[in-house]
Formats: sequence, C-alpha cells, structure tokens
Amino acid sequence: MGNEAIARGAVEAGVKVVAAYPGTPSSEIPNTISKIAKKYGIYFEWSTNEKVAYEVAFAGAVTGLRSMVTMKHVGLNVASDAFMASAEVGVEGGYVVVSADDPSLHSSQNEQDNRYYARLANIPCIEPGSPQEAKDYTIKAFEISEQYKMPVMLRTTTRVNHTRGDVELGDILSLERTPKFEKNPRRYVTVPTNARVLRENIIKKMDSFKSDLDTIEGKGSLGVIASGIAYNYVKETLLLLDVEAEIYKVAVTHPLSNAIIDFLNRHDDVIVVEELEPIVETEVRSMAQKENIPVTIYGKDIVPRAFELNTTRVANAFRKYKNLPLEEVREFDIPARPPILCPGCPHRASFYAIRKAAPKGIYPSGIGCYTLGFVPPLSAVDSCLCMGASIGFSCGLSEFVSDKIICTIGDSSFFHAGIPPLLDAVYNKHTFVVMILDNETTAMTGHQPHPGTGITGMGESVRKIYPEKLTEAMGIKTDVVDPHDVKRTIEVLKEAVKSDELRVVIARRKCIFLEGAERKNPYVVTDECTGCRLCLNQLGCPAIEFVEGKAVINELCNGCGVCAQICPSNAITGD
Amino acid sequence: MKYDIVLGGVGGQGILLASQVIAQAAMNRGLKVMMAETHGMAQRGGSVISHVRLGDIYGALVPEGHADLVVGFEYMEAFRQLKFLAKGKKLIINAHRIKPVTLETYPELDFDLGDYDVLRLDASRIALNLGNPIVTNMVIVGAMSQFAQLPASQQEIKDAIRESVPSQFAEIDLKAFEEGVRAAQ
Repeated sequence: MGNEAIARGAVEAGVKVVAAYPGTPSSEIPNTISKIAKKYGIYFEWSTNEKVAYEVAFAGAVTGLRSMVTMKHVGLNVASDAFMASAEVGVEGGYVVVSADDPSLHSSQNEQDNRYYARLANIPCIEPGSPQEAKDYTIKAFEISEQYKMPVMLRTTTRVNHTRGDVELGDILSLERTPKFEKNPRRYVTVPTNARVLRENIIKKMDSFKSDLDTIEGKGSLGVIASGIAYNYVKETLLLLDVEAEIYKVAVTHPLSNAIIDFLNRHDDVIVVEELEPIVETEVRSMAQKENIPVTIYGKDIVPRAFELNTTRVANAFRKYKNLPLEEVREFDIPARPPILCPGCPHRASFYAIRKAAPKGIYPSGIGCYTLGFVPPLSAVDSCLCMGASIGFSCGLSEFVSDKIICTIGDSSFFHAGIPPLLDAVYNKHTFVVMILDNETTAMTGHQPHPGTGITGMGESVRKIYPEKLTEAMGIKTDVVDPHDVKRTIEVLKEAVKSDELRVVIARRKCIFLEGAERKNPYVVTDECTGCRLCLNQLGCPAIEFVEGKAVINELCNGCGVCAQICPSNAITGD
Repeated sequence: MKYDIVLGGVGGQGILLASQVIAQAAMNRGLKVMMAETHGMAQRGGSVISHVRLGDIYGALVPEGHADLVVGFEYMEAFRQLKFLAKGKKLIINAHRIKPVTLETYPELDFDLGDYDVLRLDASRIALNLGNPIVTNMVIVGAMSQFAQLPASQQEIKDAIRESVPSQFAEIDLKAFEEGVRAAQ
C-alpha cells in the first residue's frame, strides 16, 4: 500500500522521529510506524492534534534527527500556524511533512489542494504518483530537506495512499546522530527583527533550489505536462487514443523547474494535466508569458477541476482538445448505500436519547463516526464544520437563538480541539449541553489510541486522562452515563437541558468493534411484536428489518439491547 | 497484456481479501499489479469497491467502460459497478441481497444485460452450506477463476489463498474456492 511504502521510505531514509494525528487517507503511515518504531529505534507518538504532532516532529528535525509528521489535508489547517513559521526557521535534520489530500472527498469535509500550502509557506513540494514513487520520493524528500535545511512537503492523494502494488525495497540507512538543540535566538525566536532576516533567507533558498526529480519522455509535436497521479492517466490516455506526445512529468510541483521553459519552447500546444487546482498550469502560463514563448496552453479549460481524475476523464480532455466526440459513461440508477453507524454502536443510543431529551433542539456536531448521526431516522447532527467545531459553534449559537442546544463531540475530537472552546463557554457564560461521545478510541480512522486510552503510540501504558476530570476542573457540572442505559441517559440529558447552565454529559461505552468491547448474541423478536415499527423508525439499526408486518433481527446484531429497551410491547429479548 | 477487474459489495464481505488473493496470484506470476480500494466512511456498512489491475497498466483505477470483469458480491452492488464493464465482457452476480438501511424494502432492479456475459450464483448460500458465511468471498474467487480468463491458473490462485489467509482458515477457504469453481461450471 502507498502508505506502507511511505513508512518504508522513511525507515530506509533513517527516520528517527514520527508524530501524527490519524486522518483518512494518511492513517496507515503512522499505523505502520507505530508497529515497527521500537525495532528501528524510532520515537513515535500519536499526538493530540496535528499542530502538536507538527511541533513534536519539528523539534526532532531541529535537533538534527530525520523527522516526519503525517496528516490528512485538513490536518494541515490545524497545524498551519506552526507550519508557516517553521518554513522560515528551517531545520537541521531532514523534515518531511506528509499531506494526504482527498480528491473526490472519499472521507473528508472538503477537497482542498494542499499544494497551495507549500506555495504559501514557500517550501518544496514533491508529489508521488504510485506506491513505488511514494517510497522513493519519501527518501528524496528527506535528502532535499536536509540539503536546503527546510521542511519538505510530500503531497499525496487518496489514490496514492491507498493503492496497493509491488514496491522494490532498498537498504536501510543507518544514521547515528546525537540530537542536540543549539541555542540560536536569531533563528528560533521569530520576533520581527529576526523574522525579517528569515524571510529574505527563505526567498534566497527557494530561488537557488534545483532538483533532478522531474523526467521527460516520449516524442511528439504535442507536449503534456502532468503531475503526481495524473501522469498515469496521461500514459493510458495516449495508448487508448493512439496519440503521440512528449510528456514532462512534474515530481516537484513547487518550485517548478526551469526545464519547463525549454519544454514549452519545443511545442506549439501543451496540455497541463493535474488533479484539483490549476496550480502547475498557472505557473506554466506565467513562465510562458515571462519568457515570451508562443505556445498555446490548455489546462482546466478541458481537464475537470473538481474530483479525482481517471483515464476516462483525462481521455475526454484529450478528445476535447482534438475536437473528437466524448466517451459517454453508461450510468445506472442505483439507490445509494450510504455508510451508517454499526449495529451495536453506542452513538446510536446517544443520538436516540438526544432526540428524546430535546426533540426540538439544535444538535451541532463535528468530525468522526458520530457525524453519521445526521442520517435519518436518527437525524441528531445538524452541523459538522471541522474537528471540535461543535462546541465553538454552540458557544455562538447559544447567544443568538433561544432553542435548546445539545452538541456532540467524540472523545478523540475533544482532546484534539474541544478543550479551548469549552473554556470559552465557561469564560463567556454560554449555556448549552455538551455530550462527549466517549467510545474510548479514535474509531473512524481505525482505533488509534489517544490521551484518554492510557496507551501510547509506542504501546506503553500511561495514566489515562478522563474528560470529566478536565470539565469538572473547569467548574462544569458533569455526568457520566452508559448510553446503553437508555432510560438514565435520557433522564440525565433532560435534566441537563432544563438546568439552563453549561453542562457536560459523557456517554461512555467502548466502540463495539474495539478489543474488549461487550458483544453479545443477536437479540430475537418474540410473537409480542405488534409491528409498530418504532425500533425500525427510531434507531435505524442495520440489524433490524421488517418482514411480513413484524420486526426481525438479523445476524448483524451485536446484542446491545437498545431496541429491547425502547420496544413498547417488550417484544425483543436477548441474553 | 492487461486485465482489469472491478469488485463491488458491502463493507464486511471480504472484498479486500478476495482482491488480494487474485493480485497475489498474478504477482507470483511476475505480472505488474495495482489495487485501489475504498476506505474510511465506506467501511461503515456502505458500498465498497475494489479495482484490481493486472499486467501493462499505469494507474490504479479501471477506466469506466473498460473492465474485463465486474463482480458483485451483493446483488445491487453488481449493478452499481456495471458502468466499468466493457461490452461483451464478463459479469458475476452474487444473488445475496443486503437491504440498505435507508430503504424500506429491497428495490426491484431490472437492467438489460444483453451486452454482457453473465454468471449468476448464490455464493452466500454455498458458503452457508459449508458452515461459514464468511467464506463467501472465496466461493466468488473460485467462480471468477472458472468463469473468467484471469491471468492466473486455478492452482496459482489456490497457492495465493494459502499465502494470504491465516493457516487455520486455509482448509475451509480452499473448500469454498472449489465449490465456487463447481458453481461456475
């Protein structure tokens, strides 16, 4: 897998520090490192959020160790403050910042193109297009970073991260370095006097940047400039349409190589093929204008800008260029099968209780499995902006509307971004109910541990941090409930809503698929079932079906018993 | 040589393992292999899709309308991935139906499949008869090896199964494979 290849590349490059907060499609990189960290003498940590991860790994790089931080594209939004400043401060040991972008939003709230970030910070950006390149370019990124003493972005996309293919391994570099922090306030203390010097330095560094990673192949009057994964689709398109072209493959998408100028000079027509934003295209146009090259450049006028590319979409771009009829994709009208909360998921019971406690309330939420609470019939998620936003959004909302507000946040999200807005709520006397959906793991991304789990990324047992200790220390009345005790959860929530003060309710129960979670045999529906459909219509559990006028529980049931508790006819029984 | 497969189904049906077995068999033969899979949200009972590309290929995604074989591990999901199948090529449909929670009843689906070479089987029932619905995926792999011209022999695929599954499951998985072969004969 591309992500395993990146982890392998880092190991081959002699990485000694890796920090991460999980996020699709990046998670398998740190997952892999976590398993092998001890063996290769790597310090690895699951950090509380991407900004902290960035700073931890940056510290490693500053002390001369090769270091890496990994995150999904929106993770860099969280880390951006540290990211921007660190670019100018620079590093001693190689520092690779992996930004895993998600074109087509397979598992994200947006499809931002983080190559913009590399430009914003003015650091080199390298874009692999296959599992092999993912490994090779990771090593290159470390070398470039060390050569120019600045962070380097390795920008991947879902199709690179999650593509499996054969990868040729290399030798593991053995770097024996003693980490040392050399005090240098003029560099590390970014007060304006120092930062002005740093600013001029980074411009000089980037003006002197040279790399030999880009490649040119093929022959033809047509020129094609392709970056990252788009190169693969171009290769297949040329075969499919039997078109000859010279291809300039961009591996370093920032800064662009001057070799592109010669390439533009050789062709009358050049098509720039890249996924998402017209970043390479815009710079290539600027080069042509500056060098006064009489070349016609095609880009986002024929290549789609939104969503990921594939050979069909790239081939159609070439057909547009050649004025050929487009290939139609045969579409079949199939009902959607959206992801839903798993059978036995404790969040289902929590959302049910929220609806019962404040039927007309507003339910802000955030990022995690629990975002799926927006799906009917639960319909208990009214907003999802980003990690931790439910509390900050509720701070504002509670001031402007009179509706009752119950917001939800996961345990991992709470540690990630939920604490500062909760402090704001106390400080500014905002009134609403925060329900922390504590399933004792980071479930959505594959059960990574966090400060509340008592396990570190190195597998060490440490003191658990309980959210209730934090919230109580802030002076907030906090209740802890088992969401599978439906009656009590509703009572506690009702009381909290009624109290007209800021309240925290922690719904604690392990993710049903977490090791050690309580799973029981499927429940059964007895003859008492009157076919009222209450269980079906209020829980939306994939284990409950309706057959010939009665509820039936299928083999997906994990025996959580929530349906049995809400059945008005007591017609559902289990262990 | 190039052979493109798209496998569609529902999270938890073992599509990834089935894809890995085919890919492993092809890789053992020295073919270039690429696989693209869905992750994250799709694992929560949503539609799952896996692209398996073997031979002279560059990208991991099968272009729409160019697949040599489309396999539906679930009835409706077979049709969801049909846009990938080239005319005249092969389609395998497992009869097993899993109702999306968002629908009252399982929808009636009726498409003209005259353009394709179709194999229908109830791999889930065959697996259940073997004593474990979890081996449905290997029944389907068996059917694929018999019905389609995969660039790997049945023996090579059996070897790949032994390589890919935990040893305690090898016996039942291989049995499931054989039953799949038989169902496709």
